[in-house]
Amino acid sequence: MTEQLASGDLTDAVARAVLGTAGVAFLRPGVAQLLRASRALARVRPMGDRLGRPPRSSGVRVTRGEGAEQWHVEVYVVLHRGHRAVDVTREVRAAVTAAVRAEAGMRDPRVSVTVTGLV
Amino acid sequence: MPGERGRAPQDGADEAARRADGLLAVRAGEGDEEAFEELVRRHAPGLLRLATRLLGSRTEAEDAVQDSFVSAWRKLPEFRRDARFGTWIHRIVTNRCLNVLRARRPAVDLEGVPEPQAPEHEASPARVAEGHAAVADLTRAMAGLSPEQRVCWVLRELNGLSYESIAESVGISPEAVRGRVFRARRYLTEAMAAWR
Amino acid sequence: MAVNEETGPGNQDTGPGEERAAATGGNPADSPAEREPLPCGRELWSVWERWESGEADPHAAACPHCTEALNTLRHLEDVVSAARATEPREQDTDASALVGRVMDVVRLELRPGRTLPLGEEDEDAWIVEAAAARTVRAAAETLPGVRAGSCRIEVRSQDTDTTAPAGRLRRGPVGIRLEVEAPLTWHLQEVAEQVRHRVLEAAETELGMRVTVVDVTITDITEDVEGRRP
Repeated sequence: MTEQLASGDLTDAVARAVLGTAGVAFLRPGVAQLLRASRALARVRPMGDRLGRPPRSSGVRVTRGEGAEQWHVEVYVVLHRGHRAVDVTREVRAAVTAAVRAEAGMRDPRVSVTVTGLV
Repeated sequence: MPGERGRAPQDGADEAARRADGLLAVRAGEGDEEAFEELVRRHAPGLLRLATRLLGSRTEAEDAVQDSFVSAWRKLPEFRRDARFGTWIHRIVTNRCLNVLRARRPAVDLEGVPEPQAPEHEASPARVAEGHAAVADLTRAMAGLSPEQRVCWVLRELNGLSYESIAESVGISPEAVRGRVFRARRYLTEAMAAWR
Repeated sequence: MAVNEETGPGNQDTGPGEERAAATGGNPADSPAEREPLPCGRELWSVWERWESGEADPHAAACPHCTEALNTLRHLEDVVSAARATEPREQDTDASALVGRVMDVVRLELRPGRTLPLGEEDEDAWIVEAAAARTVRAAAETLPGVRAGSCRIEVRSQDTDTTAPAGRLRRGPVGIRLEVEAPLTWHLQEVAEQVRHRVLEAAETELGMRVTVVDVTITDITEDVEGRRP
């Protein structure tokens, strides 16, 4: 299936909405971000995540299947301990839905939220 | 170095540490990064010293130990439960260092072996003098050993391992280890005598 | 027994003496040059070996050639001791920078692992197994002396009758298999029950993950109550 990637603006708006949600520590870092963060890693070969996603995949991915009306927002987050994980994912979903509506005028995107860590 | 040779101590603290290692290794193998960090923290100082002895360079030792831990993290999901993490990581570091030594230019021509640099940590001026010169000679002579001789000799003389443990670490027979250690000793005594 | 394992393919031995160790044999120094005996008839390797093994060696004690041979070895050992004395002590070795670098790389490597459902059947929320497992282990370890090891969590086929739509993961309550070590002070039945209780509580209050079953296996009995990690 050919996928259409959303504009960077929409992705950024979604990322901001996620990060503004209480209980979210950070988005799952992409390799590029980590490389920038750690000079010592410069000689480490960036690897894909073995699930087939590209090495630059970060915490937010917004796509639309060919011909499909509905956008699909995938969010990968690390949460703070002390917040109930499922409650945070619900608030993330609400914030993302609102952001997509405000930014792109679209209703009811499918929003998948995956907790990749707790800190 | 009497008393330090031979088998690992079997006291209670050792047993507790081994048990804790086992638990941490299982958790790390299931993707628990904090458990792995604890393992790295526990084993890094000893492995750094081992690698520094094997390679003669703290900088290269840091690289070798770092690479070894990363490769251990990747292989941990297949780590056998009955194996000991300490033995396993020790073997990974030893082999990594052996490969680093093999990749170096062979320093066969002893006249071409550079004078060793004083180690950074050597602070006390009281220790200098004669002993210092002999230690420098030893360091210089060690550069003339083959990688295989050097690894076996260092594990034996500096780390005090038994021939059997070295054989297990390096993956050769204890007899072959004895041969390498013997030749290394003979070579070192001859080289140092020639310089005196 | 073979001495020449080290001269296999891809294994260049350039060190002294190594090239002479061609043949195999019962002792470590079997080339003609190395077999050349000391003037007293003993071979160097056997003199050194006896000394190292600590065996009594009356001949060597009395023989000037053997004594000389042992003196050179002892001198080497003295220099080795001096070299060791100049090393920093192991506990003084600062490895914190190394630990940091290793963990930077490790955190960058995403491991393949299960992704587990969070919340209700119709939700689209998930948690990776390693993160959920950490919460589970931590819950078990709130009991004094209990240490958690392996923790596997999965949606069991017998617990869900829905099949996942194409391209989506199966949802449903999970089953947890947890291994723990517990101190002698615990009654085994009781500790398993308590662990189960704490785990179910944490899954509900900290994660919001539906759990059907918690299998607790006690893998080891420890002697110390203060079995906390250092």
